[in-house]
Amino acid sequence: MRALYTAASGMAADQLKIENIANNISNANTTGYKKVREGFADLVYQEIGVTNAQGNELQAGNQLQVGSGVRVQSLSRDFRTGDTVISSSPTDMLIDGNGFFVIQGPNGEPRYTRDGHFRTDQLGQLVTQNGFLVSPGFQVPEGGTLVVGSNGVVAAEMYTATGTETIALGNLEIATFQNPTALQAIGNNFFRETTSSGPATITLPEENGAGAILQYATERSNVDVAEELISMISAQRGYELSSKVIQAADEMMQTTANLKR
Amino acid sequence: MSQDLYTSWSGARTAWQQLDIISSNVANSSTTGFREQRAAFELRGNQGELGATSAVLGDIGFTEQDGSVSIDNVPTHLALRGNGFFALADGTFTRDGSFRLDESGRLVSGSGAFVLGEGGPIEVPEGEQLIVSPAGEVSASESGLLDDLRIVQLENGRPLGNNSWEGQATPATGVTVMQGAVERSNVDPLKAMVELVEATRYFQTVEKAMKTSDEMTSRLNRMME
Repeated sequence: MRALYTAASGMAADQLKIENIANNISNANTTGYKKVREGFADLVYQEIGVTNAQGNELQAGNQLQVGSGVRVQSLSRDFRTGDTVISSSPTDMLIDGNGFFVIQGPNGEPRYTRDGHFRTDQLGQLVTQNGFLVSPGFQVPEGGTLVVGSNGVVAAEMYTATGTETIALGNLEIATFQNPTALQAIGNNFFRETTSSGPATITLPEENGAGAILQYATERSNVDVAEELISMISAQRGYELSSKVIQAADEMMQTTANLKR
Repeated sequence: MSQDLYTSWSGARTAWQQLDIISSNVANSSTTGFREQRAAFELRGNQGELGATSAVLGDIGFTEQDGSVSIDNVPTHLALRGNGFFALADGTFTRDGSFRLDESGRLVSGSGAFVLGEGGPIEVPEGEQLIVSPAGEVSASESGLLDDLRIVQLENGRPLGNNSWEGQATPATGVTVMQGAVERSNVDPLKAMVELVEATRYFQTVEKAMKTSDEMTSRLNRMME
């Protein structure tokens, strides 16, 4: 009977793997998306043989054990940089290397994102696509063009009768984390810090291990569809194999039941 | 009641035990660093005495062959080649090298235990990259050599679940470390399916023997009426 439940745990784990792959694939074109990988671990082992072949009792620690299945131990995010997509919008930027853009989320709570596909709102402020301010806040004057240096210096270029005028707007902030894999994804391409991610270290681009800023470009999702399809095949086959074990256990139980006429 | 029915029953019991083991192996065919379990069955009793024997589970061992490696280029993922285990700070050992850094830069296992070097937990200075050589030397991109990974061989190794093992540890020889890769389960699904067919067929045979024995007893009963 144990075999049935063990195999069922295998099917459940493979199903979760498929669900995760589905999410990765559906975000294959999401700017700045980071794929999630699942980690499996075996479940506890149960003693099944307490005597040896000669019928003598085995001491604790030498007893024969059989595994009782599998579970998903971790779902960890892979923060490697995705490919670069060149764009023609001055409000598009990416971080070439480690770090996250800092966004002023609802109630001023900081949010972190790799998605640098920004826009300006009706006041000329640099905001994310869903309208949250890019920290510490930049206001592009009317008629000005945003210019962002690789070191995060933000300025606006104005064309006047006498030539171009550059107005300094401030510096982009980048957040780095000791353990970014523990960041909590909250949708809309945003992350929130957690106890195990460690506090955000706010720094300038190109400093303290943070990446450089590249304007007129965004970061593609780091999902490799071919890799996802291969994991999907392996999960599907794993599911099928476990179902065969259940079938075999069922057949054996039926045979047992038929013993008594 | 004849003894042969019990002999057959012992055979049926081993078929179930075999199925339990196959089931656990198959369920863990995607578990990183998993080692396949193998059962050995033995005959108990005096073979000279007809009908006084039974089949029992003699031993459960593990296939020590390395699982295949899956390269994912994550710097904190390490795969072992050869018969060794990583030592963890909670006193257990693991072959699952899907490690990560915690909030203070210490290398931790999937179950959250610190990964040990010869000088204690391995700590990577903030903002630096972890570099692990095939010989198990751990260094950071700027600080240089930090420590050596503690890689051990296990005697009487027993799995505890959660990809961790216990056993008597001795320093391992001939083990190399691959960075940016994890070891897949060493379960061979094809072999598992063959074993599955074998176990179910064996079970059917045993069941036939039990039925025959039952019929013989029933006939004997009728003859005596």
